[in-house]
Amino acid sequence: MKGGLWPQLAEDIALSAVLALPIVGDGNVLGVIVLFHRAAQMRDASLISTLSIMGNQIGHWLQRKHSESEADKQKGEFFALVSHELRTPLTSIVGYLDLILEAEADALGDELRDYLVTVDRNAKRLLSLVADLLFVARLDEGGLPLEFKDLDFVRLAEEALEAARPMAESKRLTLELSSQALAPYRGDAQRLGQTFDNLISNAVKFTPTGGRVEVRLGVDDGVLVVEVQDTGIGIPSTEQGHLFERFFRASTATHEAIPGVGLGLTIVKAIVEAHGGSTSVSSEVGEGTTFRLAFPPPPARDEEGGSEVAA
Amino acid sequence: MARILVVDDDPDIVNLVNIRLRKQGHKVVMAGSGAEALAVTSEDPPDVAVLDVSMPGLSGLELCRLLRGSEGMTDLPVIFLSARVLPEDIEAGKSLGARYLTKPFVASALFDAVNSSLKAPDEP
Repeated sequence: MKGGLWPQLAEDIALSAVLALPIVGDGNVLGVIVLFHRAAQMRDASLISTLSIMGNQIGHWLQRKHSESEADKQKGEFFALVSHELRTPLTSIVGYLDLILEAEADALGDELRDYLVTVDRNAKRLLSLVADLLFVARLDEGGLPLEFKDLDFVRLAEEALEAARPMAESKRLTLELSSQALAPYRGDAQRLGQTFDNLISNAVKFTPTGGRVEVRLGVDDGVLVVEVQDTGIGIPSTEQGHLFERFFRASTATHEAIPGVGLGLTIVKAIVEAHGGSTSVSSEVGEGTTFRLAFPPPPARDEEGGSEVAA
Repeated sequence: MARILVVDDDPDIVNLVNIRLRKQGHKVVMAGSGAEALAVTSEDPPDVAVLDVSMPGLSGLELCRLLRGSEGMTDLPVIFLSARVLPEDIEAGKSLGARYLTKPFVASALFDAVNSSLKAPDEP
């Protein structure tokens, strides 16, 4: 054939027979599989026909993978567009509401103020849904870009607890954080903060009035362990295996009509795994749930600012 | 107190940013498109520009280049205020030496961006 590689190979290691079969997809040659043999071979029609069927199968498979990744790309572009189009009106809704809520207290009256606070809370809920949808669409497109820096897990937990406090107080929940001294961890602070936010806001959401949410940070045999435990409604054991699936919602959640779309834990799992960690859950209906994240010590890495980690 | 150009194809957002900045004592020049922005600034350059990114006609990124190509605005500090939130969008804005805020925005973040733009035109 064209290049000098095969004759050279044939000479170097004494090859006497070569059989090349094309990988064909949609009428185009996508690649070639080449088989060599040291001994001279007779032309074997049935072998050639079997191998060309294989070539076609591989071609079809490649073609299908290609269209799947095209479809994911288009889906990603679609979500980016939807996200943009939803964020624009939300900017006005949230922006003008803020202006009203900043007005002097007596200009509004408590009742009207409460109504507007409700509108504001729901607009923000819609906004976080838009962000979550864009996030999972990006995952499908092939990865989760992470920015690795030294970070303080305790501070991430404290910030997430602080953000959850107003909601927790309205339900008279006790929020607690216990932690041993932790060495700085190398990870993406924004993404890991998101995992704390999702786990803690879930715990608060699914725990009835008067309950308790506890966040524990510790190191177990070199593994950094995060636990978020609540005294909430719990998850039936038969459903626990599906919890991290996209759009999955536990029957206890839908039964109690607790709002949500089932993306929070999918996002947690993706972020934790992109850091080389793992997620697990233990729960009993009516007793409560504990989510556990385990981050093994990172392998020694070069001092690069960021890296691309496949989802 | 500064003279601030605000450009967005959504009039509600132009007005929202206008109200916020006026309350801080700034003078605001509003425009609904890149072309309009070029027209209203040709006589009297602003101190800072707050630009949307996705607009019909000129995009915010193109407008940023054109404004800075105009007389008296070579070092114009620009703040992009955009509903495009993907890392590559933010990178594209920052690569022009601009600040980048995402929509919906927090008023205090807008004020911080304006104030720091007035002190140091280029984002470090």
